[in-house]
Amino acid sequence: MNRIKISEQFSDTPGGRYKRDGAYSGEEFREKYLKPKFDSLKEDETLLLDLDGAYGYPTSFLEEAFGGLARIYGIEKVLDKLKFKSDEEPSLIEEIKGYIKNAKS
Amino acid sequence: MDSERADLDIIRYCKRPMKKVRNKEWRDRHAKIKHKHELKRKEKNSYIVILEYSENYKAYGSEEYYQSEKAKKRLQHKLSRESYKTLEAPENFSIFANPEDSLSFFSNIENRIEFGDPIYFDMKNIEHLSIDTIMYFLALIKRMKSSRVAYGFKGSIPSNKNCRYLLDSSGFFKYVDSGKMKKDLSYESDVVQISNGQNADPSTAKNICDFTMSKLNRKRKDIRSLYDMIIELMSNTKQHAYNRRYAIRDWYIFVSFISEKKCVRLIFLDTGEGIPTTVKRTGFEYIKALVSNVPLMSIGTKHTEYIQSALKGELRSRTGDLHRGKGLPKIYSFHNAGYINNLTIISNRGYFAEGRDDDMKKELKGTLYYWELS
Repeated sequence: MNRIKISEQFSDTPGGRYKRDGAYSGEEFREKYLKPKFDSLKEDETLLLDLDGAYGYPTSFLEEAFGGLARIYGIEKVLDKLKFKSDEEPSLIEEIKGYIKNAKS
Repeated sequence: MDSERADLDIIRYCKRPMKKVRNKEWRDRHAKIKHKHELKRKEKNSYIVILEYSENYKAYGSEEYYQSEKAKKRLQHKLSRESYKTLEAPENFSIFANPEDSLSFFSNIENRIEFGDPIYFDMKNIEHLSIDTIMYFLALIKRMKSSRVAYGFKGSIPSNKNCRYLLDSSGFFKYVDSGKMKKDLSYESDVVQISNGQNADPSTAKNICDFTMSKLNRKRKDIRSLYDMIIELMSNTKQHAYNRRYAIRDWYIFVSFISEKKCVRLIFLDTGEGIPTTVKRTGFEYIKALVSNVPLMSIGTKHTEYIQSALKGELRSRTGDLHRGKGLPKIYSFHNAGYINNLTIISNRGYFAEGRDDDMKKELKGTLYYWELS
């Protein structure tokens, strides 16, 4: 299974929404890590996002990364292809799914 | 004969051109020494600290302040004569505790500067000083530096020991050009000194979280919400500033551990436009907002109500994007869940706090947040 552990592969201190807002933004994560991995997924493959080990995930980071992806590929496809793991804060998974479902252009 | 000769000698001596020059030199030198002694005496007696001195005409920045050439010349003249306009800070110099007097002091400063007066901040008599005021003071100085306004500041530090200690430990002297020796108080492990920036800064948020974890004996997963809130507020500073008038969009943050209450308190200042100005209004709300600025008219929407609505997620950000403006509601949800205590927000004339919903008379430029975490 394809997997991204955000705290190790990207940063354990995620930042704000856009790149212009500062380091480790949601936009940067989506463009550099999430979108390329998502593009490379085969028909029957999924992508696991491991959320543990970070200091936190600001709302604007999550919305821009995952909601932003849904605005590009569509809500259904993103929900179908992405899987999440968050042992430290299980409620985070539902929160992210909410941002994906409510993503509007 | 001898006396005549002596008289001639005196006349000759008096006619010497060098005599006059020597006298002038002596007078000048003497005056300089006297002036130096006078300054030393003042410094000893009233803790004079030169905060800033600048004739910063050409700096880029906001168009918020307009100053005529005449006012600039007036300032130069007054600075050369050391004729400062003294403004006395209120005894209770705290925006949270005494908003009207404290904000009135700041608005006086801006008025005097606009008029071209060099200012002497008399802070000797302050008995109660708070970090929020120090932050706002620093923000004001930065705004002046970046504007087209020429200004000259000078000031005294408080006589009260506790207030002086607070100024030192807050990191105030790192930001102003004071003659005072900058003490390294980083060993004071009960505070994270004032940090300042324009972007969302994960490393500062991380330091604050590490500090909180060590003080409250928490694990990393316990302070995730704190990290989220700090980054959200930092991001808001940049995202919610639309008007060029507010070219300086900075945040300031200070964190300290209160050992008696066993809690960490956080103070955050955002120098953007402020929540009531930033939220998108309907046509009717816009008219109500205009009316609320008219004295004796109380039918307009209060600024405090705008803050409450923004916290509840009822108001949209001015970009109109539905996916934005979620930061404040999340902070409010942490407050409602009891994760943070004593949440207080001051923005423009709005004052949101437990048991208070009235607007202030004076306006704060930006937004000030306070909360405790135990």
